[in-house]
Amino acid sequence: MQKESEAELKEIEAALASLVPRTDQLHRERLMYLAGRASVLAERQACRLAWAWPAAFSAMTAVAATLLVILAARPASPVAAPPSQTAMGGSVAEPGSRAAPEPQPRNSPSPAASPAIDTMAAPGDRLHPDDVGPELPYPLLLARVLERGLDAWPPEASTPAPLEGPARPSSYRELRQELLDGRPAASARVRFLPDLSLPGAKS
Amino acid sequence: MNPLEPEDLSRLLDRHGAALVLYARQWCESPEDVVQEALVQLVQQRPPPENVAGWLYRVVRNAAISSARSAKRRSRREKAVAHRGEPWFESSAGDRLDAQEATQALASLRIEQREVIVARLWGGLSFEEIATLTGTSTSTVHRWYHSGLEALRERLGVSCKKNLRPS
Repeated sequence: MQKESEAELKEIEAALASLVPRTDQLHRERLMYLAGRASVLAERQACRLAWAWPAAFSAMTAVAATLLVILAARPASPVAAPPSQTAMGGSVAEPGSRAAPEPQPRNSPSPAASPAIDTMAAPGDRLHPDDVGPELPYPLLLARVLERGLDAWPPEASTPAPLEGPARPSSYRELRQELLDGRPAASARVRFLPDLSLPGAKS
Repeated sequence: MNPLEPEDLSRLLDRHGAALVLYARQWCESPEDVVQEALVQLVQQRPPPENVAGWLYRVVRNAAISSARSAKRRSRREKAVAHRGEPWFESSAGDRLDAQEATQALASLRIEQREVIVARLWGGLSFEEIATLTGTSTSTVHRWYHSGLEALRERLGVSCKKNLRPS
């Protein structure tokens, strides 16, 4: 019974396998054309991707090398020490002395010689408030004033005298006459004058 | 691995084209388009898959199911397939079974049974490959295959003996 069933299954299996599926809608030439086109496109894309990574790597390497060269060849720029640091280091020159202070030795026990602060500027790079001219930046000017008092404040530059403008009107009538004349300076002057209009005044 | 040559593609088409169309026909209404797309995708693979037949069947299956789902007519389609008059097989004088009856009998099976029988009989895949393809165990594939054949034997048995033509 089992063998008969197996034989019948084998028979129906063989009979089914003898049938040929329909492929009348599958166009061989069209498929080959599309496959060839897709293959070329895939090849191009693969070539493009194969170029992309080495090109990106080379560009990044070149940029990094250029930046490294620029960093190595850059001249050391003078850095002004903060005033508090200069005061703490005890290297501030005596009042009246215009000479540049000697560089602080690196093995000095003073707080200014501590590595944390010392790395901020080389001793030769430090500027003393006295070393600069009258056109002082504000931090150095502040340091000098704190150190020596208000005498160290640079004399104010002579400011030019304000230009003498036309005489201001002394009365309401004069002002009205000036406004009616339409002189150009009148409009600027009116802004700083109080409201002179009188209630019920005749125009 | 070298990319596929045109001769390889031609051989693949001769060997699996018809079976792939029949396989895709279990789900969608335009199986030829699905098979064509799968073959074009195969050419674009860098490197090509090792098991080309298994890859093709998997891609065709996914595309056919996706196509059927996009139409949102899958369940209706599976039922309608059985009632469609267009035969899935070419009829010739040497056939032992009538193509129209075989189509109707096959279409009346459940989709799992149909899929396994088509992949096994016309696709020539092993049960292990079909299990991988369908995401089930080999024993389940065996069960579906034998139950499907049994159902076909019941439906075609009489006509099979009656219509069996001398080969």
